[in-house]
Amino acid sequence: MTETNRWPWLFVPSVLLVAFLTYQEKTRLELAPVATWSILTTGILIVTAGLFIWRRRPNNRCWWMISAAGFAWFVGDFEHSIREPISVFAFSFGRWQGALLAWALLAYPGGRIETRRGRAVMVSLVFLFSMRSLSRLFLHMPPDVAGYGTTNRFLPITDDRWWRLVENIFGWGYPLMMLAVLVIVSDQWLRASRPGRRMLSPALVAVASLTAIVLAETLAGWNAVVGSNVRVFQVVSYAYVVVAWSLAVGLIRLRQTRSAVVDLVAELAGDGTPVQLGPALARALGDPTLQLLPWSEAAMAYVDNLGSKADLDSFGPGRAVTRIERQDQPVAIIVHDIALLEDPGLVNAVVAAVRLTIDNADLQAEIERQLAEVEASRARIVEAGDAERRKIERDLHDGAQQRLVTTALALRLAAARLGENVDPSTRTVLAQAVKELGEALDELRDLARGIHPAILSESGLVAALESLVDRSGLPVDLEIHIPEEPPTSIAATAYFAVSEALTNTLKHATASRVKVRAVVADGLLDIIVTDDGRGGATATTGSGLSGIADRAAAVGGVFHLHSPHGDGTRFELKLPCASS
Amino acid sequence: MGHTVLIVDDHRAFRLLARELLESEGYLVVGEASDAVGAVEATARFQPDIVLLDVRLPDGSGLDVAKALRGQASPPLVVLISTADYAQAVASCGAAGFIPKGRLSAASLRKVIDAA
Repeated sequence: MTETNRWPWLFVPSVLLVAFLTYQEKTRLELAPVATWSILTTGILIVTAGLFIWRRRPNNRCWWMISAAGFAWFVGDFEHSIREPISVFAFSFGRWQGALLAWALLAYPGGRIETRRGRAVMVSLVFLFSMRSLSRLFLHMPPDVAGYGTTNRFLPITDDRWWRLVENIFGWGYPLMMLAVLVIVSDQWLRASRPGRRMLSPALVAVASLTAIVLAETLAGWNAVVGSNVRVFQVVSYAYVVVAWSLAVGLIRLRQTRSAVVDLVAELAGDGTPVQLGPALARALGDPTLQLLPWSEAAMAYVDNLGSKADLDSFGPGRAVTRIERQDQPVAIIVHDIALLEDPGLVNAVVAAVRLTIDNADLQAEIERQLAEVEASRARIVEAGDAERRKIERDLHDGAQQRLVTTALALRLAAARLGENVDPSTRTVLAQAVKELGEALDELRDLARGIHPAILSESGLVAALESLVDRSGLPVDLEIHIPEEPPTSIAATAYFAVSEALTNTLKHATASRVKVRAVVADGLLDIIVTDDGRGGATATTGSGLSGIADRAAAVGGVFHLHSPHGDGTRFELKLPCASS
Repeated sequence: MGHTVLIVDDHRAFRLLARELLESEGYLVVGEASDAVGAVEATARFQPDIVLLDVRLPDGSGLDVAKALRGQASPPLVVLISTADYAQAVASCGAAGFIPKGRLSAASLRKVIDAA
């Protein structure tokens, strides 16, 4: 809320001040305390109703009409002031609360009077009240009319016929106009559908109360009402409160409906689609006939759940179509009870919420598409990397390794064929060359295996893991249950993961026992490597373990490392596996 | 008379040197093959005591050849050879042992034969 629209808070001290002055005035007049308190609480409650609406619906102008009615209620109570200007002013401008509340009624629920007949009635009411106020201010008032002895000090006119004429016109016109308000609101209510009636019901209660008050005042006369009986006066006073608070409650109920719509949309935001949203909106708005028809680019039309084109002219009377667009492009239409248009704010909220939901669904779909694309491309990168590793390993096998092998055999053969008379140093050199070449071949074999283990391609994951464990130099308990060979990228990931885990254990864990378990169950290859070493392993960025975690994620797997200091290490990898 | 040997490898230079190396130590190389199909045919034809079998052949895996040979009426002793490490695959294919190609010698072959 901005600083500029906090000024209505000034109504609080203002109404308290006015109530205090009223209390003093009534005490001076020795009015019955019950009646005095009725006056005070009525005015305060009416102003409070206005402020309540302002707090909840700051853009709805009904709030100030109702607050002003509360102040107008107090103004009339100074008719009896001993200060002549005050009593003249109060007598002239008091009792405007009826007109202000009628205005709020006609403007309910949107805050503006939308119908021509409503505006005509309101203009008539304002004219009647203004005419009476001006008449009381500027025309002669007989000293005995109100019984207060107030006289017109501004424009003394000895002939009071005009004044009486105005009073008579007002006396008939005011109740007639209130009856017109009653007719308008009742007609609106009768013609409305179920959601419309629910919306207009508070106004119906309010208009019935206000009309009853006005008729009572007219038939009995205000002074008669005040003077007849404290109970009657209390009933009339609190009827004004009922009017004000009926409207306030009605507007808050509307807000709750909006909140329900917004909450609903927020709830659906994750996976809401127009098809799901339509029935949900129908429930939230209390309009079971509501339909949400999305725009179909293929059909170039709004379509229903079955994909059939909607005929916008076929919805019939009592139905309204609200269009939802985004950047001038059609998104959907809501076909609903025309009564919902009584609250344009509600419709706007629904449109905004639906647009947000659809945007969100589109965004979600786009994110999911991009995520799937990223996951697919990541998997492709891993597969391409594996393919490249296999190629390099094969090139080594077919090229350098073969040449070195034949060279080693040739040297060994040459050494075997050396005659007896050969210089011993030549024999030593040849033997040394054969030995060096053998070691070079071993190193090259290890290198090739690190790039891609040939046994994995030739014999499968089980043999590759057994080979890995066999070479590890660790006391390993091996448990394997892999009935079918997993996909190539999964098998390679599993192999390199176990290799990395065993290498880490050998280098850092100082473990006495290691257990490797590789089991396929429920479509998952579950690999667990545990040791009883000193723990403390971490998958820090750039480490071999983090590389395994990245690789596992790339093929849709999950990596978990639990390695508390001094309590061993548990390395677990779950990989999706087509075979089971 | 020494054991008869069939050498199966797709590299001609290796076959030539292996033949000379083994024959210089008393083995009798009865034949050579350069692929999987040829290996099976040559085994049936020459009935060697020992088949020195490369694992990676151009038309298939030597492991499969070893399994096929194991099913014969009088199967030869199959010794896998490769530049890569296939020691772990020996049992599953019914071979008698594995020798890295660079370590091939009459002595290493004798060790496998003795262990079989």
